[in-house]
Order: sequence, then C-alpha cells, then structure tokens
Amino acid sequence: MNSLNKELIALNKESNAEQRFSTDGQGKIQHSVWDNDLHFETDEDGFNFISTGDLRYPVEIVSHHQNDYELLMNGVSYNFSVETPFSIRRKKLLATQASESTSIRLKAPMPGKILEVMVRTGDSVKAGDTLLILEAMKMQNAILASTKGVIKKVHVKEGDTTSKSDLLIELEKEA
Amino acid sequence: MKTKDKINSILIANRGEIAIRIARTAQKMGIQAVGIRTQKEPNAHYLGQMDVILDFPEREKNQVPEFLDIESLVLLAKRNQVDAIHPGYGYLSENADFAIRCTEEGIVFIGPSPRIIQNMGDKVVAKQIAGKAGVPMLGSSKGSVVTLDDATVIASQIGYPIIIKASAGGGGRGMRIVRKESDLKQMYLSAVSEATLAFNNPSVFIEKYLENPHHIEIQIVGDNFGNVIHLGERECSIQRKHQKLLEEAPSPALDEELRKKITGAAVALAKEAGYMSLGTVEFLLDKQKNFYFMEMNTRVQVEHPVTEMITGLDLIELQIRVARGEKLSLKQSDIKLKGWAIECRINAEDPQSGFSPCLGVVKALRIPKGNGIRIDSGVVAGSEVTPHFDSMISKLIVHADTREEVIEKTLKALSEFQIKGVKTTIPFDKAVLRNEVFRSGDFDTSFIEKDMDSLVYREEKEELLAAFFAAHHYAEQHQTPSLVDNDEDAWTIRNRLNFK
Repeated sequence: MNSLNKELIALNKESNAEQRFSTDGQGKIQHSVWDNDLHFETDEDGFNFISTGDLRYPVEIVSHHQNDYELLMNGVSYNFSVETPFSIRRKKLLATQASESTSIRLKAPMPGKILEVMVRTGDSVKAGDTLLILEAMKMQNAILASTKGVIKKVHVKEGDTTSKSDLLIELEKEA
Repeated sequence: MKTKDKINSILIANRGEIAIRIARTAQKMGIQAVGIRTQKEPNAHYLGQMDVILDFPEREKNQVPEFLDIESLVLLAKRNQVDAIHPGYGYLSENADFAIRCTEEGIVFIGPSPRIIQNMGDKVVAKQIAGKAGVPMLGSSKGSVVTLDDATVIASQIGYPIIIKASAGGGGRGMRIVRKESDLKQMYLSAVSEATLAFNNPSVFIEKYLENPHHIEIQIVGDNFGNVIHLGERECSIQRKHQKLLEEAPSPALDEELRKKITGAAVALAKEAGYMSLGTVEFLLDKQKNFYFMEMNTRVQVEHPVTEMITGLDLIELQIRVARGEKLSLKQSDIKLKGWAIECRINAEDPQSGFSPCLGVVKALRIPKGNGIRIDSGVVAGSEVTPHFDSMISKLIVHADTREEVIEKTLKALSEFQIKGVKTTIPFDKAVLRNEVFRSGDFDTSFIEKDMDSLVYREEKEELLAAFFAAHHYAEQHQTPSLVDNDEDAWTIRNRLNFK
C-alpha cells in the first residue's frame, strides 16, 4: 500500500492529461521516463528557471492553493492539480456525479465597465447571443451565451465596474 | 501650413514606447524632447528618456483623457515656449482640430496640414481623392452614416457582408463586420460608442467587406515642394479583431510587378492629395491580387520600424525635417530595400483566454540583444500595466538578409525575451513564426482563425517540465512522511468515504 502514497500525479486541468512521478517522501521526485537531473535556480534578475539537459525554461507560480497550481512556463499558462493515485480516483468519481449540473455562471473575463446589459431574468437565449457589453482597455467586448438556455439571474447593471472573475450572469442550460 | 526654420524643442503628446522613440530622434537632431507627466502614471519609464518633463495641468474630473485634451496640450506647449508638438500615433495624431489649434498658436504640428488630415480623415473625401488619382476602391456609403435607419438602407444597397468603421478611426477601434441585417443594430450602436470613446468623434461610415484579404500598406513621405516618394510596403495581415499583432517588410504576397503597381498607386494618391509629411496608404489585396484603397493614415505607424530596418532611414527624422520646411533630400532611386524585417508587438494580453488584457507589475524583464535586433519598449522592470492605456508594452523588431533567416532570428530573440509578472503575446508570436502557413508566405487576414491550431507555442517537453515543477513543489511542501502516509490503508479510507 505504501507504493500508492509514493506516487504523485500532476493532472492538467484543461486537457485532463496526467503526468506520473514517484516520490521518496523526502521532497525528491522522479519521472518514470526521465533520466536527466533537474535543476532549479533563480538568477540575478529574479527569474526562476527549471533546467535539464539542453532545456532551460523560465517558470513562475502564478498561484497555488493546497494542491492546485497555476504556472507560467515560457509565458504559457498551465493549470495542474497534484494528486495521489487515491485522490485522483475520488476526483473522477465526484466529477461524474457533478456533471449533471446545468447552471452556468458567467464571470467577467477581465476588469472593466458594463456598458449595456441585453438580457433580463427569464429571457431565453441561444448560443452566440450577446448578453452584455463589457468595456475594457478602450475595447468593447460582447459577452456571449455559450449555450442555449434561460437567464436565471443578472448580477450587474449598466455602468457597474467589474473586477476579473466577478459573477455577471447565471444561465440555466437547456438541452 | 506655418513652418519654423528652427525647431529647438518638441512636446511629445504621447506616452509609452512611441514617446521614447520620438525623443531619441529629437535628441539625435539636437532638439529638446519635452515629455508630459500624467497622474495616471507619474513614474512611467518614458519620462526618464526626456530632456524636460512637464506636468499635465490639473483639470476638473471626468474630462477627456490627457492625451486627447487639445486645449490643455496646446496651452502647455505655448506656456513653456515649446516650438513643435509631435502627436505620435493614436490619440490626437489624426485630429485636424488639434493641428489647427497648434498652427493658430504658432506651434509646429509635426504631421501634414490640417486640410490634409481633414481630407484623409474623412473617408469619403479620401475616396474622392483616390478616385481622381485612379486608385481602385470597394463600394461604400457616400458619407457619414448618422442614424441606424440610414445604416440599414445603405447596408442593403451595398450588400452584406459590410464593415462599419469610425470615420476618425484607425487601429481597429470602432470597427464592426456585419454579415446579416439582424446583427446591424447592435454592431452599429457599439461601433458608434466605441468611436466616440476612442476618437472623441461618433461618426461612422459603411463599406463593402472583403472576406480574408491581405492587408498591405505603403509607407510614403512627401515634402512641401510636391515631392513624394515611397519606402516600400509592409505586410500587416496577422491581425485579430483588426488589431495588428505581427508585421513584416517586405510582403511575401507581392512580386516586383505588383509592388510597382501598388506603390505607384500610393504615390499617385499622395500627390493628388498634395500630401506632405509621413503617411501610410493602406490597401486590401484579394486572392486574385487585385488591390483596393482602404485608407490613408496621416501619422507615424506603430509598425514603422520594419520599414526603417529595410531602408536604413529614420522615419521620425524625415517627418521632423519636412515639418520644419526642408525639401526631401532623397529621390525614389535612392531608396533601396535591403533584407527582411519582422516586428512582434508584445502586448500584455493572454492569448490563452481570448487575448484579454493582463494588468499587473512587470516584476522582471530581460530583453534580447544583438545585431539586427531592436527593442522599442515602454516598460522596464517595476513598470505597472494599468487599465488606463493600450496593452502594447513593447515591440521586438528583427532584421536579417532573407525571410527564412529573419524568422529564425526572431524566434531566437523571442526565447530570450522574458517578462515576469504579466502574461504577454510572446508565446503567440512564437506560434505564428513556427506555423507552416506563415512560413510559406501564403497567408491572409484569416490566418489566426483558420491556420493556427494553437494560439501559443509550447517548447519541447514544456508541459512535462511544468507538471514536474508543480509535483516537485507539492512534494517539498508535504515532505513529512506522516503516519497517515505510511499506515493508513487505502482500503480503509475507501470504505470510510463509502467509495464504491
């Protein structure tokens, strides 16, 4: 049973790809197909690098909460959750149970100002319909419905200023 | 236009990288560069590059943005006895009223005369001039479209798809493509409000929309003595929502014969307009290699450095020389296009989530160096990226002998270009330059939508190393081999959780 706990899995939350690593419980880990040594360093400009063989990439932790990581490597975002073989099985089970949920919470993709709200609670919309106009950095961005559905609740009004990830609209999915 | 024999100082009515770019040439010419400090970014990097800094005067709240405030800017120049104003790009660079007010106060406006700005800024008059010069064009509204009803009638006359553009426009702002009548209302209204916000002018016009053309522009320069020459073309088809992201010169879409025709058309148009100063004539090129006049920009362009790289000329210097009444010392035969150049706009945007702007502090910055590599940057380590301004923070310009070489050289430079603290378009630029369609040279304005599988390029084993980094970090934080880790039977936990 100990071998189960000595394995860590980095689950890519966007692609669901899994990378498996073995750990000795002392903070040292290895990839099964990885021969080269890995090095971490911070240079004089404050950049962090991970390197192995000929490869040397800048890496930055954007955020991490418990086992959830958002990283930037070479400027590209990666979202991982680090799991054990046990936790990943539990996660998959919970995911199948939760997939029946039909409510979509639309959040502000960027900070900005609400210029116009096109829908009201109870409105039926189809995929691609404009729900509201968010202005950010002098550009107007139409926030579109991702699916056919009914507006459950509108959380903003015209003139409101929003931060990134503020809840804008709740949409009840319709088949 | 009133000119001065001597310009001793230039007020730069702009910010960021272009303010620095203008200051550099001014200083080279022995002219004092005067910068403007605003309360929105009192410690901005560009201010450090100026000879003199003036504080933007205090005003009542809720007025137009500083660099759009004509009266305050003109008064600032006048009170401080500055000889000339350079507007850069965007903001008031194509505002005839600003040029008029400068001239009225005896300040040299570095750009063409107010009449030319007005004519070229008015898309209708511009088209009349282009027509007289024999330059081909697409069907469009006869004038500004002022009501939704007019827009509806005109759009159905021209036939969908149509494009709505801000009359005072440029840079993609206030621009909307409409494919069917039911979309017209929302598109029209949002174009009008965006135009008002960006240019302080709500006027829009309607034009036939050409699907997936090339976007080619010709750099021209004219003097006050009727001389006009061209400095070759720029390829600007790599666009997203009409915002250019990566440009090159020359264009792989032109051969010598077509280059001759299209540059000839640009020069003819400029001559017909009586153009003096630096300007850009933009064309759309269709699959059959027919070209159509789109608009003329009466200012320096963001992407002007690629032309500087292949001509060896300083375009800002040419612009200042013409503004102080000098005759062009160059003839067309003096212009030799040498090698190939690429510009990558480095925007604080996230290509992985719809290019949404990224705000924050640039915590660390490393820029590539070397022969044929130029960085025009508005930021340094410690600079803040705020929502007040455009998201472009830097430009990488690379020059080499051939297109193949410049693509490789730019890729190498991009891998050395590191920014910590905000996400940027660097991984996007890499993806463009690695793309086979881009490399073949046979691409158009639909490139990003149609030809890119991924909007970011991932380096070799990048995802695996990122995964490793996350797992490693996690293991370090949880390294105590606790009792639970060692003794707890997974079956026991499974049963506790009622795991089936």
